[in-house]
Amino acid sequence: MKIEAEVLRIPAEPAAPAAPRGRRVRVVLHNVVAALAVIAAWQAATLVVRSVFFPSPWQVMRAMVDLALHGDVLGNSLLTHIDESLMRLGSGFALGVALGVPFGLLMGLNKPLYVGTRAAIEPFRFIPPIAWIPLTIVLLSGFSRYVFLIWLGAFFPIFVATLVGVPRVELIHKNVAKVHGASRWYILTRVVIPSVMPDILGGMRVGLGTAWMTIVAAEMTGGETTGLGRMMVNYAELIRIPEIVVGMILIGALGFVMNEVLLRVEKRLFRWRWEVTL
Amino acid sequence: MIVRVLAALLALAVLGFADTSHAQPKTLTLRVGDQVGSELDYGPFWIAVEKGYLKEEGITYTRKTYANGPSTLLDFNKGELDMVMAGLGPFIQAAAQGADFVMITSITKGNAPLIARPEIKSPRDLNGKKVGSPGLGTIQDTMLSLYEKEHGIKVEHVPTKITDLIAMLEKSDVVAFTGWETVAATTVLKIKGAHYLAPLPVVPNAESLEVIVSRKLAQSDPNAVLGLTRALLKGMRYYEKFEEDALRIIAKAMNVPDALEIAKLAKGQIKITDPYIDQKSSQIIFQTLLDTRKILPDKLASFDDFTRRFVDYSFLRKAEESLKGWEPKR
Repeated sequence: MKIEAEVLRIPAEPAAPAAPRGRRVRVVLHNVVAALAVIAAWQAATLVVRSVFFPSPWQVMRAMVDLALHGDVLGNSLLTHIDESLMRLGSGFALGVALGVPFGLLMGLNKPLYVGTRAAIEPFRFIPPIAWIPLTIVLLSGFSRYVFLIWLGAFFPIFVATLVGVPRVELIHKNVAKVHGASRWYILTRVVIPSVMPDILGGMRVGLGTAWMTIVAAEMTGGETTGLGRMMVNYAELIRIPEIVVGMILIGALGFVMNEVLLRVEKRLFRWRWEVTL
Repeated sequence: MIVRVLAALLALAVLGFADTSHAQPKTLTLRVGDQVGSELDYGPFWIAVEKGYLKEEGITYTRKTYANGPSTLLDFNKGELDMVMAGLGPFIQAAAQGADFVMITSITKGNAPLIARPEIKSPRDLNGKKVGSPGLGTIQDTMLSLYEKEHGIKVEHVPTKITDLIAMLEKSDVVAFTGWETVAATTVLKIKGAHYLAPLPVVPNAESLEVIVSRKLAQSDPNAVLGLTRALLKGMRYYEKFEEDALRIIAKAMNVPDALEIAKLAKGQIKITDPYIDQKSSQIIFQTLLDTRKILPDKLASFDDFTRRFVDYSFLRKAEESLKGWEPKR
């Protein structure tokens, strides 16, 4: 029986009010001040530590400019390293989402299936992705090695977030749909998935962090010549610490930007959600 | 009677606690850093251990192994090690970044063989291909750059852990790699068709590995450093005189299956009997590091500058003087 969409449409709650422009400017200013405070503390630390191997902000900035203008010792540009890391990360992460969400939904909706396979699946969750590196070196090559490792890092947070989100779907929403004759597919796509989306996005943000940790560790073990992790190890072997810190800053910045993108997506999709404040 | 017995016991107790320091030499425990699979390269050290030359000098050791020379030096710079055996390239790079140490002796020449897959039959076949090295900061990577220059080719350096290079060669992730012995010999024996494309570096008598100690140790306990140098020199002389037996000792230190066979194959690619740094090849190595931008000239102007500030042959000369006429015994 075809369901009238209007019957099942939940009246939209008023969207959470957007922050006034003045407050947004203040937030940006506060963040700039916080960043400057971190840099000042770092500079102060170099005066205390006084080691040739603890670079100052100025040395790191010079190294960044040099890398940006001239590339690394192997002639690879900074953009090449960033590009390679992002491509590997993006591919592995996308695969993690593509498999983590359906698997999480399948297991969440089919409890006997999850209970019956838990002993086989769950142990893999506790094996850190970097523990797989020696095996991937002998079994996989090049791009596929990184995609596999990052997929491992991203898959489980997304899978688990989806899995635990499914039972939390409001029963009344499912029952109302059933009472009106909604098909299983309708309930899945119009009730369950939208309800679980906040959990999925939360899982994606956690998975993104794990993916970054994995890609850097994987690139550090070698086999390729490009990537931010590889660049950092190359300079570690040359005992050029400012360049290593450049790599760290870039990883932090890229991870921050990607996280902000996910946050914006989350805010846009769930603008009906009000934040709880005390 | 009881009083006499008690008096005798008391006298024995006093004698037992008497200062015997003059009878036993002070023992120094050296914290030694070197690399995985490098027992043949540092053969004189292992011979010195096995033959008791280190013990005679009142030295014991603890050993930490690392993936390559630069990794070893990262720990050395933190004060975690007293002595490091590693490549000349990493030492120059460390010095160029402000590290401090005293180089007491050279220990290995050569030791940068190029192993290739069966389809690679000449240097030209490498052009444009991926060639592995045990790390961008290693002496072997520098030798690879020299090999490219010598043969007018350009390869893609793929730095990775030495232990992964064998698997990568087998899977054709790289078509060749440069590494140290005995990893190279192991590869030739294990992988069908793998062969020595270039058993020796392009620079004759190329400097490879050296021994450094912390400046703190050299200044606070020069006798210990002299003792260490004497032990190493004895190890070199033993190898020179009793090569077969020396290889057996080194194979024991390697502690892997077929160690002796591997060591016998590997020995052709190294020379571990010359304690003096080869100046000509070292100058070439230094220049290559500058040309490849691995070091910048602001902290280290030249190899002569490096020699002046970091190389100290006084221990070696005193050791040679004290060992005049000394012959190793089996």
